[in-house]
Amino acid sequence: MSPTIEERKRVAAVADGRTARFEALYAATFDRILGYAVRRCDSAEDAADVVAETFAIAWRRIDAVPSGEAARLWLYVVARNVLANHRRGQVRRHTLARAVADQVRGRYAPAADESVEAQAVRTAFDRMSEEDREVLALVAWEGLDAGGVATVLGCSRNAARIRIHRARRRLRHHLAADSPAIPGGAR
Amino acid sequence: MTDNDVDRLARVRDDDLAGTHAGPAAAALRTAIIAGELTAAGPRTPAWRRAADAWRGEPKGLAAQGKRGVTRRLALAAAVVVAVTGTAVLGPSLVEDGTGPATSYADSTIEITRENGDLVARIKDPLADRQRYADAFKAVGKNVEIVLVPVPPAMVGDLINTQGHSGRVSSDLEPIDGNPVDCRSVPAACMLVIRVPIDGDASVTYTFGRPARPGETVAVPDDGPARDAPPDAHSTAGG
Repeated sequence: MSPTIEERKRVAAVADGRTARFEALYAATFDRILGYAVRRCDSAEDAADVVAETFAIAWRRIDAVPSGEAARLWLYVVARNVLANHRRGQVRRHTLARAVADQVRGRYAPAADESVEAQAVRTAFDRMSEEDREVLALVAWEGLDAGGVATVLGCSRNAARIRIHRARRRLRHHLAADSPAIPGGAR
Repeated sequence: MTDNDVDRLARVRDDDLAGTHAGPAAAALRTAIIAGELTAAGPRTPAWRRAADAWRGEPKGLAAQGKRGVTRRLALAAAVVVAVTGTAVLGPSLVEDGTGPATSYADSTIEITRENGDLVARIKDPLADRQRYADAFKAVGKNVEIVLVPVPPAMVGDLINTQGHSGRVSSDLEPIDGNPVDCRSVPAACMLVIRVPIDGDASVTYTFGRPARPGETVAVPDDGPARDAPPDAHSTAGG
């Protein structure tokens, strides 16, 4: 038996609701997820692919995406997973993401006037483990607190707090060891 | 302070990217995602594997824990379908050259498709912000603005005004959901369909009539001052 008009309307309303919800999510979080990807990927194309894949997953799983601020954290988790796959060479090139890549390519120009101090921080940061770097990045770049870091990394809030504390201590240690004269390296 | 030090290492700050989501590139990507074009199997990873990875990446405690098993099975089942049919999904609605405009667009307010050499826009929400329509046309590479004004039932769907380059344009009313409805007598049960040629990039603004909401003042372009719509103008046959 074919569906009644009422049933068809109900199905259409549900579909429209999901679409509207995804559009709202996309509008509220796209810039931030793009920022997350650009800060972690070595090229604009890679970053755009990660964003495209992340939102494609969010669309498929729109009913599972939490509302409010938790949605952003949920997307960070997905993006983090996509990024890990990407590093294993397992994320596709999205033709459609190329136009997005064009918009952020300028961000990949080498910083010409990086101060000696900033260079020292970069060197120290690069020497840290990937795990430590991610903990510090989530706090400094995404502006997350221990609770947010815990959600994204899948650990307890207390564990996140300890990891943030230890990562900061190790960065200071690296800075002090590399450049004892730089104030940032002092306790 | 190490947080500030690390902050300075960021290639870009979120604030620097504010508004990117509203640009044509992001809009075209959003349309493709909603249209399901990004679920097609890629060259490197089988779709089922990506779906399984995506499922594993779900934050603990955020999704309904009790549904996980079912969700996983559904995700895998859906992914297998995608894997089997995936490449067939790639088709004419992909962007033309990767950086050019999309060939189709859909969101909750408007849907634009190609039909017989025309771009056909179906207005799903006649009360939406006109910028949404303009963004949709921009995503398919057209500089077309659509303005919808409340009119008496007999004028719903009519082209009322054209500003800028006047190209070939036509409009029609189509029953929503394919219901058998006489759109001329019950315009509120119908969707406005606008056809413009694919060629040409001139900037143009078209004004069409839409059903008035109950009590809303209607525009009467050629017959002097505006007048109030009958209270039931939105839902009944008019004249």
